[in-house]
Amino acid sequence: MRSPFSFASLGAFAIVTSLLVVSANGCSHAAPQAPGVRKTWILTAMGFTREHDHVAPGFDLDRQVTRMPDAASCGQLDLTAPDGTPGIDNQLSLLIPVVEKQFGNAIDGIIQGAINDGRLLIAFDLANVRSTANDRDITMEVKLAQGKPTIGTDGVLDAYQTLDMRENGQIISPAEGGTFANGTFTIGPFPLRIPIAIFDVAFTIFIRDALVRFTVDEDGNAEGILGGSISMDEVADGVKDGAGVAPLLPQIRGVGLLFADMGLDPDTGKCSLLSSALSLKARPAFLR
Amino acid sequence: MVPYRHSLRVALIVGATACYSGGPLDPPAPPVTTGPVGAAIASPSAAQRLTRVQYANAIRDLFGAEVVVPTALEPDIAGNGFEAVGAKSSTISARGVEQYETAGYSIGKQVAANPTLLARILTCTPTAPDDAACARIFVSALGPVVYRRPLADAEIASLSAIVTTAGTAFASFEKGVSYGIARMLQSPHFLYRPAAGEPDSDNPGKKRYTSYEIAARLSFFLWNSVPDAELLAAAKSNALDTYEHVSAQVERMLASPKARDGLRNFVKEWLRLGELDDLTKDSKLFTTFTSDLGPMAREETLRVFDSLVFEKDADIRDVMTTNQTFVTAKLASMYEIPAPSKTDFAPVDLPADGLRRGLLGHISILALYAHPTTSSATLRGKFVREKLLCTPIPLPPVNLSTGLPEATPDAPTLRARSLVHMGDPTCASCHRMMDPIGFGLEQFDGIGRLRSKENGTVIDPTGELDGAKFGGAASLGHAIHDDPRFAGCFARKLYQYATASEISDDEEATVSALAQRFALTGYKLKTLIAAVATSPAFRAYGDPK
Amino acid sequence: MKRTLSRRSVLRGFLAGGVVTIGLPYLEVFGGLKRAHASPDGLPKRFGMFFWGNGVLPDRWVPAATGTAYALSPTLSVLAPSQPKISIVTGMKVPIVNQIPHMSGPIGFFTGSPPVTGKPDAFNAPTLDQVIASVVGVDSRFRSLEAAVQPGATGLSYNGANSQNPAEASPAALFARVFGPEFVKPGTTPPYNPTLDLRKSVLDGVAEDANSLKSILGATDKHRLDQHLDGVRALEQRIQRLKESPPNLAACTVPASPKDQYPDVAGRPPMSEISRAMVDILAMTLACDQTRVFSLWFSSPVNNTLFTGAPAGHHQLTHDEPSPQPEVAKILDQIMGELAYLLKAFDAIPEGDGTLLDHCAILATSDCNYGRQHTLDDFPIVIAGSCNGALKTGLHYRAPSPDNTSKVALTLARAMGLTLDSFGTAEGKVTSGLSAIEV
Repeated sequence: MRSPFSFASLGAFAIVTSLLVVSANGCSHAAPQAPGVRKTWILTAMGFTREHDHVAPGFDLDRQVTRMPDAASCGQLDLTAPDGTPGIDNQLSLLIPVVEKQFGNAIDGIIQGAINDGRLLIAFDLANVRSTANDRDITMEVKLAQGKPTIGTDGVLDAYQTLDMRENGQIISPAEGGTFANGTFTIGPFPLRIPIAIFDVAFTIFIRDALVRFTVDEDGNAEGILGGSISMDEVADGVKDGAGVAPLLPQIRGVGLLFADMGLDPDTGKCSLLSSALSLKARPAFLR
Repeated sequence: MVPYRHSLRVALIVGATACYSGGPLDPPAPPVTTGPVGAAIASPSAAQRLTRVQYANAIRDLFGAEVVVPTALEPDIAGNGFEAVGAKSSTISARGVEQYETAGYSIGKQVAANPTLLARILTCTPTAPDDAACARIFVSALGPVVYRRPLADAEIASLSAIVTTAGTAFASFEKGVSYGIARMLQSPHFLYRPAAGEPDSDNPGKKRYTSYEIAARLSFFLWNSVPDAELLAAAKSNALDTYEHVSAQVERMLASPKARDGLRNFVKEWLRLGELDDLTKDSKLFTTFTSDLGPMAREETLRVFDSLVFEKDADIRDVMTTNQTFVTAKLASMYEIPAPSKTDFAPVDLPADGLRRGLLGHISILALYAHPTTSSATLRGKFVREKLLCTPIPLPPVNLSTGLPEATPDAPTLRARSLVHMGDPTCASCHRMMDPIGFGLEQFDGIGRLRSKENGTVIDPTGELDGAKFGGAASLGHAIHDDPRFAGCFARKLYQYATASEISDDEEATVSALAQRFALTGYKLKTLIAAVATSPAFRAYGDPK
Repeated sequence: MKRTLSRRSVLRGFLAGGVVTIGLPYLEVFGGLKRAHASPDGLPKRFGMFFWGNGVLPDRWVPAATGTAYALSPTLSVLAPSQPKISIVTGMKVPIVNQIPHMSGPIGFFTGSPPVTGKPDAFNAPTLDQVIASVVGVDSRFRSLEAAVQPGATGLSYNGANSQNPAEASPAALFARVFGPEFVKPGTTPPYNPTLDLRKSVLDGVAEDANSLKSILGATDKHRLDQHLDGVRALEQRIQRLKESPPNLAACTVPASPKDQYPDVAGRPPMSEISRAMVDILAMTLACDQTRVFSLWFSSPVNNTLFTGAPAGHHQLTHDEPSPQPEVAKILDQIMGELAYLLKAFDAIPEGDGTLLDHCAILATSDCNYGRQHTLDDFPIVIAGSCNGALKTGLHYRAPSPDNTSKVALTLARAMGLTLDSFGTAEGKVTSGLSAIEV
C-alpha cells in the first residue's frame, strides 16, 4: 500500500513548521522610543511539540475549551497543557508523531542545523523593558539575523553574541502589550509573516494569530513556546513550484483538511487552519 | 681577547643624586621630579641569554620582518617571576644548542635566498663564490650589528673564512653568506648579552659597563630587542656616558613603536600572561572556552596597558578602575556587551553600572588565576598580593592536609567552604591574606564570566583587603588603585625586570626612590620606565658572581 | 691567544657553594669506563625515567605482601603483565628537608643533594639520568633524550644548578629530531653530506667564541658557558655519528610518524595519546641505539591537568577531594596505564635472547608520596627491567625502616655500569646501594 506521506511531503511540513528562513521580505519600522531598556534574545532551538495522552504545550488560540467534537473545531478536541491548563489548540502536536512514524524524527535536527549554521536566526527584540520579573506595556519585534553564529561546546549558540540584522529583517510591526509576570513574558496575538525558504522554495508563511510566551532564568536564558494557526492550503500554494512537489500537493492539502481545527468556513463547514505550537529556547544576544 | 678593548668612557653617575636615602616612610626633601633617581648600587652583572621573544625580535630587526623565525628554541625559565631574571642564570642545554643551530641555518637560508633581504646586509657584489674581500665587507658590516659591538680583526677573519669556505663548497657566495649568518646567530656573542665591563677611570679599581653594553641594556629593556643603528652610533661616539645623554636616547626610544614591544613584554612577564597559551579549562563546564581564548584574553590586557601608556599617558593605576578595554566579538559576548567589531579587537566602554572594571575584570587574569573547573579565591588573592601589592605569601606548609572541604548544603559556596577551611589556624594564617581578597571576584567564574549564584546560592562578593572591607570586584579595584603599595609594586617589578636582579638590600633605596618619583610625576608609567632606564643603578656595573 | 675547547671538567665541585656539575667528557673522572656499560651479551644497556606529578594514594599503592610472591596493589595492578620484570620498592625516604611541596622530593631523590641554598625549589646537582648519561651517553647519537607528555611541561632533568635539559613536549618534534632526514639506519652507510664538515667548522667557531667569553666573564657565566660548550660538544659528536655506518640492529625500524598536533579534547589534553606517541618513538630510538638514556616526564609537579573523566584538575583534586579520593585514584590508574603501555612496548621489541625491556633499567616515580600531604617517606618507586641481569625483578621490597632513596639511585647507576663510590651529598650521601634488588 502506498504510504500516505512521501519524503517530499515531510519536507513540506518541515517548511511549514521549521520556518527555515533564508529569503528576506517585509517592511521596516523604526523602533519606538521607550524609557526601559532594549533586550534581545536569539532563538537557539526550536522544536516540535508532541501530544502524549492528550497533553501537549500550546495556547488556547480560539478561547474555547472543546471537550466534545463540535462543528466549530471541525471535530478536533482540545488538549491540556502540561500544567493542566485546558483548551490547548495544538493539532500540529498530533500530526508530528504521525509524520515521524513514517519518516523518522529528522526534522528537529534539520531545524537545529539551520539555526547553528546561520540560516534560521530569529530574534525577539523587546523594547522598554524595565524588569524581566514583572512588567507591562512591552513592545516586541521579531527580527531576522544573519551571519555565522558562534557555537559553544554544548552545541548551542553562545549567549550575548552580536549578530547582524538581515536587510529588511524586521518581519513584523511591533507587537504591543507584552507583559512579564513572575519572570514569564507573554505577548500576542499578533500577525506574524515569516519569509522562509527551503531548498528551491521561497515563500512567506503567515501565522494569523501568533502568541509567544517564554520564561527567563537567572542567567538570562529564555525557554517557552510560539503558537498560532497556519493554513495548509497556503503552505501548499507556497511550495507548489518546488521541484518534485507538485505530485504531493494533494497530500499536503489533504492532511491540512484532516487535522485542521480552526478557520471554520460556515458555508462549507470545513476548517482551513491548523493550530500549532513550537517549543523554543533563546539566549540573550545583540543585534547590529 | 680584543672585543672589549675599545675604551669608551662611560661616566656613571655614582652616588646618590637626590635625597632618597631612606624608605618611603622618611619625609622627603622638596620634591624632585627630574634628574637621575637613586644611587649607583647595582646587582651583580651576568650574561643574560636572549629570551625566545628577544631572539625573534632581534631577527626581525636585524634582517626584516619577512623572516620566519623558528619557534622551537630553548625555553625561557622564569626566575623570581620574570623570564628576564631567569635569563641571567639559566644555561643553554644540548638540545638548545641544536635548536639554535637549526634556527641559524633556517634564517641564513631565508635571508640569502631573498634578494631584498640580502641587499640590506650585503653591500658588495661578489666576483666569485669565494670572494674574500666581499666576504670581509659583509662580515664587517653585519657582525657588529649582530654582536652589538665592534668586531676584532681576528673575529672578522674567522667569520669571513666560514663565508668563503661554504661559498666554495657550494659554488655560491650567497650560500656562503647563509653560513656566515648561521655562524653568527649561534655565537654566544649573539645568544647572550655578555657584560664584561671595562675599568672605570673615575673609580679606580672599579668597573663600568662599556657604552655598547649600556646600549644593549637600554634596547633590551625598552624595546626587548637589539640596539638600532642610532643607538650603536651613540655607543660608538661615547654618547651614552651621562644622565643627559642617556635621557635623550631613552626619550627617543620611548617614542619608537618598538617601545610598545618592550612594555608588552614587561606586562606579559610580570602578570605571567605567557601561561595563557596553555590554559586548561573544562570545556563541558565552560561552554565558551576555546583554545584561542587564552591568547585572545592576553591581547586584551596588553592593549589596555598599551593604550593607557602610549595613547593616553594616563595614571597607570587607572588600569585597576578603567571601564575602557579592547575586545573581539568573542570577548564581547563573554562580557555580555555588543561587539564593536566583527573581525578584530576594538575599543569599547564597559557598562558604567557593571561589575567588570579594570584589570581584575579581564578574562586573562580571572581565567589564569583559577582552576580548570572552578574559580579560586586563593589563587586570585595570591595574585593580588604578590603581583599587584608585592606582599609575598609564605609557602604552604608541607606534611599538612591543605584541602578545601566539599560543598555541602551548609557551605554551598567557595566562600563558605573557605571559611570552614580557615577555621584551622594553621591554614588561616596564610589564607587570611589571600582568600578575603579573592572573595571579591567570586562573581566571576573559573573562566571569567559573570555569575550571580554558586550551587543555587547567591554569591556574596564582599571582601577585605588588610582589614578594609570592600563591596565587590569594582570596589576592590578602587582599593588597589588607591593602595600606595600598588604604585610601589610597579616600581619594584619594573626595576626588577629591567635589572634582571633579585633586589638586594642595597638596592631597596633605589626602589623606594623610584616609587617616590613615580608618585610625584603622576604615576605615568612612561616616566617610570625612563626613570629606571636612566637610573644610576641600572647603568652601574655590579661585580659578577 | 686562542683557547681551545676545554675537554676537561666538569664533574667537579663548582665554587665554594658546592655546585656539582656534570659535563663531557667523563673519562678522567670515571677512569676509562668507556664501553663498560655494554652488557655481557654485547647489547647496550639503557636507563630511563618515567615521572608523574602529585604523588600517589599510599593505601592503594603499597602491595600488602613482600618478596616475590606478592599481589600488586590496586594502583599497580595494571602493571600485572609486566610483574615478573618489575620490582616495587617501598619504605624509602627522600633524604632532604621537606621544604617545598612537590619539589623537595624530586630534588632529593634525583640528585641525592639539598637544593640551592636559599632557593629550596632549585636543583643544585645533576639528576640521576644525567649522572648516568655523562658516562653511558658517549657512544650514542644523543647523550640523552628528554620527552614530556603534559603540554608545556619541561621535565626535571638537570646538569646542575640552573642547568636544565628541557624536555621535548611535541611528539612530532621528537620524531623529527631522531628520525628526521639525518637519521642513519643502523647497518646502512650514509651518503656523503658536504654540510657536515661545514657545520663542524661553524661549531668549532662557536666553541671558540664561548671560550673567549669565558676568559672575560665572571665565574657564574663561565660555568654557564661550560654548559653551552657541552652542548656544542654533544652536537659535534652527533655530527660525527652521522658520518659513521653504525652496526646493524635487527629490531631497529623507523616508527610511524606521529601527528603534528595533539589538540585538547573538550578542554582536556589527550595525555594517553601523547604518551603513547612518545613511547612508540622512544622505544625505536632505543632499539636503533640513538640514545641510551631517556626520561619521559608524564606530568609536572603540582600539575593541574584536567584528566579524561576527572571533575577537576589533578592537583586540585589531590587536596580538595575527600578521602579516599576516588577521582585521584582514577587519575593514578590512567597514569599507571601509560607506564604499563611503555613496559609492554619495550618488552615487545626482541633484543638478543630477551627484549629491549630486559636491557633497560627504568625508574618510575613521582614528586611525593601522599599527594594531599606532600610526604617524602615511603616514596613510590617502580623499577622495571633487569638491566641485562644486573637487577632483580619480580619482587616487592619494603625497607624495614625508612631508608635513603639515594641507595636506589646508586644501585641503578651501578647497574648501568658506572663505578661510583657514592651517590648524593650531605644527608643524601650513600656509599652502598639497595642490595635487595641487586644481583
